[in-house]
Amino acid sequence: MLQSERYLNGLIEKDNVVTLKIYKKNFPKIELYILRNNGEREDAKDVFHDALLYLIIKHKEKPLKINSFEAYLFTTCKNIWRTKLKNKKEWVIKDNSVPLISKEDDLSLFILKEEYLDLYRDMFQLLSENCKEILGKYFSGQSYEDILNDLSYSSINTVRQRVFKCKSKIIKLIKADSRFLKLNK
Amino acid sequence: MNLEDINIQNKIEAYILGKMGANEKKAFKKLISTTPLLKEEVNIQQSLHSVFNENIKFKFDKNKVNKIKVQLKNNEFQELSDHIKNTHKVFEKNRNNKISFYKYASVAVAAIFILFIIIFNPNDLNDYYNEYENWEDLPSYIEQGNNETDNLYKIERYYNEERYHEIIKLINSNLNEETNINPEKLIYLGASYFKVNDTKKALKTFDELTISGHVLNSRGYWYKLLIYLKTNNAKKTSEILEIITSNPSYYKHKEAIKIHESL
Repeated sequence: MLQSERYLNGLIEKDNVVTLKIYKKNFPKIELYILRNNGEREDAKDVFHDALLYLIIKHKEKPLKINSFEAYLFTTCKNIWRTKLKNKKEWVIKDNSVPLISKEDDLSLFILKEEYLDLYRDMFQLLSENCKEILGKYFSGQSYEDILNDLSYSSINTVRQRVFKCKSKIIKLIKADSRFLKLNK
Repeated sequence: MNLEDINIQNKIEAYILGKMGANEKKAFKKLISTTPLLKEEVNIQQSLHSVFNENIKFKFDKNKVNKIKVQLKNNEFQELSDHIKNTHKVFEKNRNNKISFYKYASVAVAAIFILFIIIFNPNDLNDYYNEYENWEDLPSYIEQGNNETDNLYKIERYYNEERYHEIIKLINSNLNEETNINPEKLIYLGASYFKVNDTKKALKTFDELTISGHVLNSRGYWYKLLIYLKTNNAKKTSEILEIITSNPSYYKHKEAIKIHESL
């Protein structure tokens, strides 16, 4: 059994020794990261709690195969903290702009966002290299003019058409994926 | 509605990127709310933008968020949540006991202890270096607009392009002609020496910076600290930490305190 599996199973079984070991090994490092990135000790406590709960949820859904538990946990904490910081400023709930942010909202939004992001990233990888390149630039905010100059297309119109075709492709892939159907039930 | 229509696609794009006028936006929002397929298309495209672009907001359906919230509130997850919270309390208790013990130690003993730890765990210094190094965060000249701008901008550009040898050549050729040492140039010169593994000259350059009397001079101590951390020089690390931590106005004072405390 991998060390990560031992840790995850220990968490699910509420094993005090394993959970305390996870804290001792990882919490100080994550606390330091949060303190250095506009957070307080209380934030570090919440982020660590949410990250462990998130890993449990994922592991129960489908057993996680992780090479380095420490690295995975650290990345999860970093993503949760970035999401929390963003939540404070700007989360928008579709059709209903409700003032957030409770601790449960934070974790719920993070879980949902990760599910969408996993799906979008996976579908993006299925595109041709050319589509990946042009859409990567387009979605990260480059103008059609910039893309024209970067990728040496013949005209803006050609760039527009290419973006349009690649965008249609990824949207079709997304809509056809079972995860999308599940998310939109 | 034909979502493949280029006009519709242009409108979706303008809506997401905030390029619509107020009236047009209002009308389009209304259309979205009454056309489920369009709504789905806009949501997917907006989310795709947000994957790559942090400035674009990720939109969620409130019902979906609530569904997860309900799931998190069930007994099983509540028990797991309580278990994690209780473990945190135990962890904090153990940690505080440890801290209390150290309160009885004298400052001198603590300092010796830190030095001892530094000396016998040289790899740890490298960990701190990896965590705190900020060579990509040198002062930027693009906005400053003085007579030197062109030259400094060039140096900054070279630095971003990792053309360190050219920076060294360029700055050294000018330094001989200058009566007043430009501290910004010293920072880039020292950093470039460090990047080409000439730590001796890098340290010497930052020494010059620390005695320049310029407002940026305290950066010299920080960059020297980074070099000593990288080269696992325990004694010098300890000395420089003492200097930075005892001067609250010095660059990266707080970070130095954190390193000092962690060690």
